Amino acid sequence: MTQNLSFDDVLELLMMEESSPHYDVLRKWQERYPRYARELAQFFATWAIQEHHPAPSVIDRKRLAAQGKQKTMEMLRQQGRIVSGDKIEPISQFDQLVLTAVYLLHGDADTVSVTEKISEMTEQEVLQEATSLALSGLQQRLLIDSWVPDTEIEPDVEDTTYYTVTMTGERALAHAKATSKVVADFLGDFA
Amino acid sequence: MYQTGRPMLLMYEHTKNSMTRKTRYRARVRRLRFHGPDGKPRRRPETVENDIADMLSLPHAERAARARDACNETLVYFIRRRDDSDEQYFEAFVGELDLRIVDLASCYVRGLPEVTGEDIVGKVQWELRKLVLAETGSARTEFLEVAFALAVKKRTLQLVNLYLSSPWSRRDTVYAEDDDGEMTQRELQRIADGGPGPEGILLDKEEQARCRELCETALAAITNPRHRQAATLHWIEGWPIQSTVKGKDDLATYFRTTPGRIKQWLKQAMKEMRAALGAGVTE
Repeated sequence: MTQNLSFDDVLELLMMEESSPHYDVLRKWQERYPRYARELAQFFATWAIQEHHPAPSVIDRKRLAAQGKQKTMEMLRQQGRIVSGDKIEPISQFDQLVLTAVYLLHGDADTVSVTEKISEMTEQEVLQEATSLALSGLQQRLLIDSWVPDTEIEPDVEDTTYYTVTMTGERALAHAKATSKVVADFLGDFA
Repeated sequence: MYQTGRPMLLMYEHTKNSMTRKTRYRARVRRLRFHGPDGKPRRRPETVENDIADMLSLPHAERAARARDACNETLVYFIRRRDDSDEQYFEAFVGELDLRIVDLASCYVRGLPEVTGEDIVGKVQWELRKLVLAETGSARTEFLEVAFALAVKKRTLQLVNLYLSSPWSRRDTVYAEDDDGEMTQRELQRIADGGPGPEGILLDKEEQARCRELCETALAAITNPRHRQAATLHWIEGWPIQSTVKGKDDLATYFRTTPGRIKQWLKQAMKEMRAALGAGVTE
């Protein structure tokens, strides 16, 4: 299988395995991937020359880093991933309750526990389907995020989806606290 | 003094709780979905997993302040996840990552003209930015969460390599070769190839580490870049001037010149190295 790898893949394996561009290492990799013998020789030579070059690079690192940061921030804005601080998502009363419940459960919020928490808050019976629908909608609007526990690390945990409030969600929650008495009562010190 | 009774029990409870908390956050770290070129599932190093878990345990508002101390791979993880949307948060993570890309890449553009070096580093930044901000994940994106520094090193060297193979790079080297003409054929024959090379002559073999250090000091004294490159490959990385096995790589093939000329370069380089190292260096 590894014989059909692209040169880029071979280089990835090489980088992970080797720390020295010595000629003997080159020979080993040329034997392993004879198809890329020439490309490997070029790469090893460049690696070795750069590794032992006595002079520092002459590039303007600060300027390049600043330009890079600016371009990345522009891309993030184009992707709609940066939300302005004063932009508050309008959410329904039930969504406010769901968001509050997710927040109060501190990372242990799944559909069942969120439903129970809302019932406790409103002293009314709530259907799991309604919670599930609200969770899905909140996630689409990036107000909450979900995660499935890694069963290799936590073998005893159930295979379920958990939810946490995002930064945008926290802003919406702060707004909800100011407008809803039920939410305000349960959120306590939340800013 | 050992603690006993209730304080000990409280300490045990505290340790147990913090361990459970840690495990809980480790379990929240999203697993990688793609396989590496070797067919094995990609895995982040343990230190990276723990670093991400530590960051996850912090409230959103506190994460940006920790960006400076985070692993490279952790920065990629937190820029990629869609949990946060605050401008200041991204500025901290993105700014730190771009700084590290430039720092890492700049180690591999040494000896290149300023404009070329900046072009290469800028291209590395651009390619990695596209990968980090890609809407959907890929094996290449996930490699950045496994070994970020190696990914930068690999790509930078590939681009440097591309530049060095280009006609405009080769044009510069022609001038360097023009000043080699004064050495006679007889002088060239006196320079040994293979076997215990000048590295062995220069310094005691038992002091390999010291030898390497001295070699690098000596390399800095070589004025002609081509001579220095040949000297690096020959004396530090073990490349033969002319391989005894046909088809195997050697300096003559790499520099596209004759073994005689390479010997001439090395002799010239040796002169400068000897002068730089001073006493104790004999032919």
